[in-house]
Amino acid sequence: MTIALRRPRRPSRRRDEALPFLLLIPAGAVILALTGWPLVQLLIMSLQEFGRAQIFGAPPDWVWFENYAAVLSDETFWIVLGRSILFALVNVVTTMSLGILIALLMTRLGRVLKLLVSAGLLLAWAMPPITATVVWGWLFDTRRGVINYLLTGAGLDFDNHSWLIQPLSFFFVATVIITWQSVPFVAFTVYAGLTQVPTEVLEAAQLDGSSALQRFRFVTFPYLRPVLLVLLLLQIIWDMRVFPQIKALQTIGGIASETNTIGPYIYSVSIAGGELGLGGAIAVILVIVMMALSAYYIRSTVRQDEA
Amino acid sequence: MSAAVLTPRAGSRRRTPGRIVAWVAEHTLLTVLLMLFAAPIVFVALTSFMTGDQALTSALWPDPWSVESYVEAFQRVPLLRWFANSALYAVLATLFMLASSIPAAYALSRVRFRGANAIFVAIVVAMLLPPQITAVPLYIMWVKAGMAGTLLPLILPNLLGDAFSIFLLRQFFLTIPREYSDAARVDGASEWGILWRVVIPMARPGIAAAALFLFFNSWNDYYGPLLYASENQDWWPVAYGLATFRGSHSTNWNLTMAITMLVMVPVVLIFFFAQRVFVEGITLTGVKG
Repeated sequence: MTIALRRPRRPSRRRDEALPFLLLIPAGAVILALTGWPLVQLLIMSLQEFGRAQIFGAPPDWVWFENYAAVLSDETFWIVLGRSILFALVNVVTTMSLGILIALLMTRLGRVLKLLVSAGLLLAWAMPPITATVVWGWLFDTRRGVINYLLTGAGLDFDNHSWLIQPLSFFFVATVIITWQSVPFVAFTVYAGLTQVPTEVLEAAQLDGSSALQRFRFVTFPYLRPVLLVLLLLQIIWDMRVFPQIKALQTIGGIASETNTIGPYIYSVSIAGGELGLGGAIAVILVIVMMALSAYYIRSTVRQDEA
Repeated sequence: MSAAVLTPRAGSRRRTPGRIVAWVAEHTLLTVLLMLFAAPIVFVALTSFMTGDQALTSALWPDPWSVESYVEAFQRVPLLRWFANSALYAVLATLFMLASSIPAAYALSRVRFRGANAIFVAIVVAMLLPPQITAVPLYIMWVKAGMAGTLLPLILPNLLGDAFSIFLLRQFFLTIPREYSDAARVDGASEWGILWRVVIPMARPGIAAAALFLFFNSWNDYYGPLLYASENQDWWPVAYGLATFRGSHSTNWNLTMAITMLVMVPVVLIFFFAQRVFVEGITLTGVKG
């Protein structure tokens, strides 16, 4: 590699044109095999009557769009979808604001504090999601939970309070768990992005007399934009189809029919209920909804290097 | 305030009342946030040092302190084997991902070519699919390849790239000003030279973020091993073993918490490797000139 830098030479044009494809072939092959293939299977399945009998080898019947009609005319689906979108919205906003706030504060800390903060964040990030849900479920436990204990101690009426039985407070607990586990990733990634902002540009802006807010708005933010976009997209995707945390909380004490989001709903229809065709149709609709919700951001990420 | 802003460096050390208020506000906010984030882990740690009987009470503080649960954890389950499997899975998956996704992300962010956007959109769609849905066809595929019952179906795909990592890395590469790579190109560097000498050194924090993410995801993966390795105990990683253990010993809180603490130890170790990149950021001196 060093030689390439020291001895200037004109690379042949053909090699240059082939290069991006050479770099992309391995990844492209995997994505095609691991996503393209299941996607085709999914589309086919969603057009078929595909139940338990078909899993064990019975030939499936083509029903074309009946599964889709069944899903779209089912009131439960719309309630679950609306609940998921609302839940994702709350979680995305909370996670992103806290993550960005922590990242910005971290740039202003001394070495030791910065180490402490990142260690704390890291441990939250590192806990296996299922264990995290169990631990939080245990903190929020009705009879022995630390949180009821502390709130009762503070003089509030939380003795034997059940957090998971009411859908609203169920989702409050779920939001706490999910935010707790996703903020560290956002904070670290934004912080990594912040350290890549060239200090010369910031110093120049400072010398020109711009305020801290102006420097963030006009220097830091444009540099950070690609990173913020990817984080926003990922949070939308993850929070929309959140699965393990909701499922585990339901086992601890929630009422599944009142607290299902789209992830556990697909699972209950297709894997627990054995209606793979119907589940496939829900999944396809979900992908379309998610693409619609994030279309603006996807377009921005595609276009940003053309600007 | 404005005077301090006008003179950088020297000004930042001057103690104006505004700065002190800001300092106190920032540090209070961070301390509160840090406590919120660390509190559950503190409870886990305290419980892991309790005796089995005490862990069933609502006590918060271990009395007496005991390492009994850690000793018992090693006797009850093949922890070392689980750790070895997790390490194999997480380390190989991360290394494979870096080797394959960095070039792909570079191609998508730095090289202009026809079809780049189409490929990129395909990668985004790949991330949108709910994993519960793609699991069945994928499982059948790996059974046919004869690799079900091991962790290989989870490790090998990273050898050729991971949609999420490519996306994240591409976005980080985009934050690097194009002038740097153009300057290198004028000096006669090849695309490989630019990738190695300019883009990778400058995107180190972003690469570290992507690597950490994949490492943690693999280390904590539960559904992957459940699907592919649940029938073969020799291949269980520690996160899956922990969940199984909790299912069958639901009253042994102290043991579950002790294993949870042990699961997080390697993560702390990794952190001390990664913290230099995060905490100190990067110096651009290597790129100038």
